[in-house]
Amino acid sequence: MTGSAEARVYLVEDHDVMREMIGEFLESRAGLTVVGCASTAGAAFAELEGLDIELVLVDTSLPDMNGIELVRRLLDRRPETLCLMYSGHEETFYVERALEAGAKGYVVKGNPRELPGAIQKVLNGGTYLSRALRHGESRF
Amino acid sequence: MDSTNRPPAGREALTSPDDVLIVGIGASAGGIEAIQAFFEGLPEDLEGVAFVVVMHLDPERESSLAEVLQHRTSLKVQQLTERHKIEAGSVYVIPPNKSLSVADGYLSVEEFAQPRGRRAPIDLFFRSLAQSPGGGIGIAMSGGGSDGAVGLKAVEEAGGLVMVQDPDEAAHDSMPLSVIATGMVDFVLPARELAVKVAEFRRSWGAIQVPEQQTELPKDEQEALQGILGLLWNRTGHDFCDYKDSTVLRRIERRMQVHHVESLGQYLDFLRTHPPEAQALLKSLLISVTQFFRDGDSWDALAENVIPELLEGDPEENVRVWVPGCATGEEAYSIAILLAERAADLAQAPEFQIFASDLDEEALAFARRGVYPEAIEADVSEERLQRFFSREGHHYRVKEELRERVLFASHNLLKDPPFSRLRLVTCRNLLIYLNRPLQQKVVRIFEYALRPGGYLFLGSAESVDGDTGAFRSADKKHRIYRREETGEPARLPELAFDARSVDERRIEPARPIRQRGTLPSDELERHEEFLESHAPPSIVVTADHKILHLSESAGRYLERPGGLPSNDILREVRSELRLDLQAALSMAFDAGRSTSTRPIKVRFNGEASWVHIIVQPGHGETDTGDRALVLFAEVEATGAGHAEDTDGPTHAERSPLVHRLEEETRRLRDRLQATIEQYESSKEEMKAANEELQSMNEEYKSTAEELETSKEEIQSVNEELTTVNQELKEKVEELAQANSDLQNLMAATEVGTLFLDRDLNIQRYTPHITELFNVMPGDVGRSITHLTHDVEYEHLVEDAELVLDKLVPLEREVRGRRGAWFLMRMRPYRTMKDRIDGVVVTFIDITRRRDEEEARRKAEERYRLLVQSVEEYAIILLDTEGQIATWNIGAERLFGYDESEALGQPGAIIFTAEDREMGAPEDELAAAAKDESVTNERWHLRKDGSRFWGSGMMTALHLPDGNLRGFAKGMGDHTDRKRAEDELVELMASLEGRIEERTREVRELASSLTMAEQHERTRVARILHSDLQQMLYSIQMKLALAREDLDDTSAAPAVAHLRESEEWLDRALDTTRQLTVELSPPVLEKEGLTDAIAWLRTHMLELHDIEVEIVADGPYYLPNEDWRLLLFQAVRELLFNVVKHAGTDRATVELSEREDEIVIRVVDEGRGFDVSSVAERSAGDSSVGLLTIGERLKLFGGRLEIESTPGAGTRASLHAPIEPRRRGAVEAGEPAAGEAS
Repeated sequence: MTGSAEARVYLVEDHDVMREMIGEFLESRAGLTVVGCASTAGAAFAELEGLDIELVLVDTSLPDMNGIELVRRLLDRRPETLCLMYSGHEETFYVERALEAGAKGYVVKGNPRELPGAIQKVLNGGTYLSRALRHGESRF
Repeated sequence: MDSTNRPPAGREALTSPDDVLIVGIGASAGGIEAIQAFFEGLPEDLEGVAFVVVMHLDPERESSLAEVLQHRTSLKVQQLTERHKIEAGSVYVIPPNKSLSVADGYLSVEEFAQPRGRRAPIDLFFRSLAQSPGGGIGIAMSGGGSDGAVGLKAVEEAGGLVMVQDPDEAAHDSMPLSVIATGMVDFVLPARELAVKVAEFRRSWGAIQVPEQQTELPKDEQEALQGILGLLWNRTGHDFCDYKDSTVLRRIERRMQVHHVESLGQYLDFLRTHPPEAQALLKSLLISVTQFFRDGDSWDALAENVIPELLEGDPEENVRVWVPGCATGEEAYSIAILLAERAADLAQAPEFQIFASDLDEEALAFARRGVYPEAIEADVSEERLQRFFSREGHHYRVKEELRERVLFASHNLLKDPPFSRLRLVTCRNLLIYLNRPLQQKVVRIFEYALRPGGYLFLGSAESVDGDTGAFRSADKKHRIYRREETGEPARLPELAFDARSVDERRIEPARPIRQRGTLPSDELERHEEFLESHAPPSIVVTADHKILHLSESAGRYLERPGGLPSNDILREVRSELRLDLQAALSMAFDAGRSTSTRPIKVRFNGEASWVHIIVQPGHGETDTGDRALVLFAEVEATGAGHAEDTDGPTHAERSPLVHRLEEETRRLRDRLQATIEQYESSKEEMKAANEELQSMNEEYKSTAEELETSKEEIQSVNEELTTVNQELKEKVEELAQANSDLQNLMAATEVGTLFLDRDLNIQRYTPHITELFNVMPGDVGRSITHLTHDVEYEHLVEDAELVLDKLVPLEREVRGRRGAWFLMRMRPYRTMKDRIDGVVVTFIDITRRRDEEEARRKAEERYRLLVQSVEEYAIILLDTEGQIATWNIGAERLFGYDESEALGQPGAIIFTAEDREMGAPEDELAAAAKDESVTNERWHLRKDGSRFWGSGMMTALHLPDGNLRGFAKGMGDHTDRKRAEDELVELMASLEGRIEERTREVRELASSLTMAEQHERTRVARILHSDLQQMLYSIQMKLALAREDLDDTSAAPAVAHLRESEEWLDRALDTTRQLTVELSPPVLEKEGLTDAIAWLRTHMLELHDIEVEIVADGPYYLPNEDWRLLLFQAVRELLFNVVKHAGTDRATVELSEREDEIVIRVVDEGRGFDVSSVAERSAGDSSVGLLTIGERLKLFGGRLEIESTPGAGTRASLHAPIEPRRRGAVEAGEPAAGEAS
């Protein structure tokens, strides 16, 4: 992908502070364009209908729907959309199920610096898993 | 004598040398070889013979018999196919499956009339051969069966010649033997020699001819004939003088042909020199061939018209039938069959007896055997064969039932006294052999023998005629005559039985010799005649003084006295000569000396002559005994000597001595004369007596025969008796055994028993009776009244008489000595035939029983008194109907009723109205009857209407035989106890209710607590996760941004602080995350139970190194979050238990849904434990926690089931309703948390 600056990203995060933080962080540090964001799966599902985006960053815990479920439904409708899970849970239980649903990556919250690289890798057609996950560590 | 015209066929036909001699050869198995040998043995020059070969050929196949035989003979052999004229020099062979017969010089081929198996072609042919002139020759050769035997008899009867192959030579001897068995065989020789005989016979056949009438014979031949008959009479005792000339001559002719003798004279010589020939001739003369039912029509007539009448008479009277001349018995058996058949149709038929007689012993033996060749099938219907005969190979044997009806006896019809009181005489084809006078004599014999109304059945060519008026023709055509009642007793013709008549006939053969003087024929005879005329008159006599022969002039010395004629010379001779002749004869025979008498003065026509009698003994023919010649020499000149001795007129001049002597002599002579006359008359009487004896003898003979028959019966009866005897012996042994058993039984019963007869005399007793009665073995038969006894019982006799009178048993208990008691039973003695034959008295020792009864009675009395005296306790007896039978003082006190009021009342009076309404009294009785005894606790009613709580028991009482006798009811007043109990029960009930209530409260509280805690945890976890954690993430991000910004400014100390802050932040995040999970697994919020368990699986693996396998069919969403959480925690705790206690690193969680509940099983294969021991532990044992889990589940309507076996793993099953049925305080707690996080 040539212009990551032009890459268009959508955020689904129910926590307001967190949503803002990530949006700011991605735009300022990763050079991405955060096209929009939603705090519920339902809102995201409705807004994404008319948007031209390349990547959706989804939190696993959403008030109305499981994030992984959202990924599955989103890809049912728009298979070309790239989805990256961003979660507080680091159990492989979630990771496996996210990848199974079609997500291209899984990033555990708690290490924001990791996020731009992960997005970039997914945009480039790769699959990204958090280092902690890749090493099979279990810190909790 | 007719040589040109063939005489008519039949037994009277004679043959001529020009006729063709037909030789029939019958053979069967093994016959070809014999026939071949026969033809090889035939002389080449044989002429005038035609052979007919009859064999049993396979009806299905062509026969090559003709070709086979052609090789052995020069004669022309041909198999017949159609009627063919018989030509000399030919051999004719029977074709297969056809029968052959001969008639009028032609052979006819015919189809069989009989089915296969019953055919007798050889018999058929021989029967037809017998009808041809002279009867031809019949030859039987090797073969099985008896075909031919009957036919050859016919041939023999017709005057033909019968030959049989020697059975020793024959390959199969059955056929030859059955022909020989008929006794009518002329030659038995090997086949080759038979051929030679045929040739010889042919040469003499026709050449030897004898005319039919004696008068046609030349004189010498007539004499020879008389000689033959005389010799036959001498040798065999049978006289054929009165037989028809034609019959006799034909038979002699056949014998002559057999022996190739050409004249009667030669035959006479042959007869003299061959003693056995006399028997052969006799046999030939006696020939009479009979058949079963010969001339069937006549037999039918007899069966229809005569037999029924015979059997109609008195059943007690035997029907006697005589068959004279029965030969081999066929006729006799035929009669027997008819009688048996008729008798079988009658309800009550008289017995019948058939006497069958004949002269021919051989034929009689045959008849007695009663075995006939199978050829009789032609004469006897199949039905009769089945009924009266049993088949034995190729023969039929007369069955015993028929055989025993016929009595065969040797008997001379003409000589022996007849059977008498007869109902039927069957005499067929016998009269034809006799001349007219003899026939009439025989008819008179039958007249004598038959009862009036009896029948005479003659042959088809015979009839009753002559002077007897006793017979009337009943069926002219079939020659059946009825003996009519003539009004005067029939007289036996004397001649038949008077020995003198036989003697007269014996002289007859000599008559021609006496007549010969008028016709001198040769020198010898002339010499004899000359001698006769010149020699003194002479008489030949036998040793017993019978005149054998008189010379011509001897008659003058004989005189006929009055009375019956005789040929005793002493009776016939002139009386003057008698004494001296007697003396001389005795001298001659006794001393064998020739004697001469003194001259005897005889007056011939008033002229006195002196006659010497000379008696010369001599020997006649060996078999006729001594003879003597008596010569009469007349002395004309009267010599002095003579005159002195005999002349009467001179005696006066004699000396007185001489005179006296002469007087003495005369007196002696007169006395002698008187003695002789006396002797003669007694001889007559003896003769009469002899005749009677003969007649009796005849009866005895018949009886002897019958006895012989019955002897066999007796033997068989004896056999039966032996068997019966054996059986009886066994019975006796059984009886002895039974008797011995009985004795032992009587001894073993230890019951004293007396058997008395009707007069009360002792018949029998058992040993034990002696303890009571002074009875001893010698007392048997004595009256019981004579015996003393040790029983206090004075009415023994009266009772016994009563029993005998009324026939009813009687029982008494009587006392014996030393206080012993006996049960005396007296019953009538019934015999097996149900007759009362006395009394049986038994004494059974009942002392012990009586004692026991007494003891029991006393005990009962004591018991009763005891019961009566009980005051605190009511004791009531009820009868089977539930009515009060006893009522003790206790009952009176308890219920208020007096005994008199209570007795007879229903037991229900003590029940309350409610209980009575419900049928309680009846139920109680029924229960007691069923279960023996029932406890009884209820409110009872007193007489005054007050109630009390009665407690006790009711027991069913039984008779010894098991039947219900009544009920015993015992009861006490337990009202006080009842009240206390009731209060206690109430107290207990309220206590329990309170505890239950409190428990429920506690439980609800616990449940609320649990849920509240859960809610709290969830809430805290949510806050941690959703707020605190997110904020920490945000801070983390802010710090990261800040640090990057600071990097640019190189504010190193600040960066270092930031970095340190970031690390703390990381640790804080970790802590919150861990805390969140511990408080409430985030996954539960929106996932299904299966997902939650799957999360748990990863969690357990990562945290505790335990591999959990999940088996689930669906996500199993549970709408109630509390419930979901509870189940999740339960599973987690169970898994922790596995980790902690099971000692294994594997477990399986199975989820399944059934109806409205979800079942989760946690299974491990670890060490397991004892479930019961766990249950005992306190619920607070956190190390197990199972009970806590169970408790918690219960609050939601679920449950926990644990199965575990030490060493075999654990299986914990959680049963959870999908919608929890909350109990207790769950409802009261906080409502289920919303779905929002």
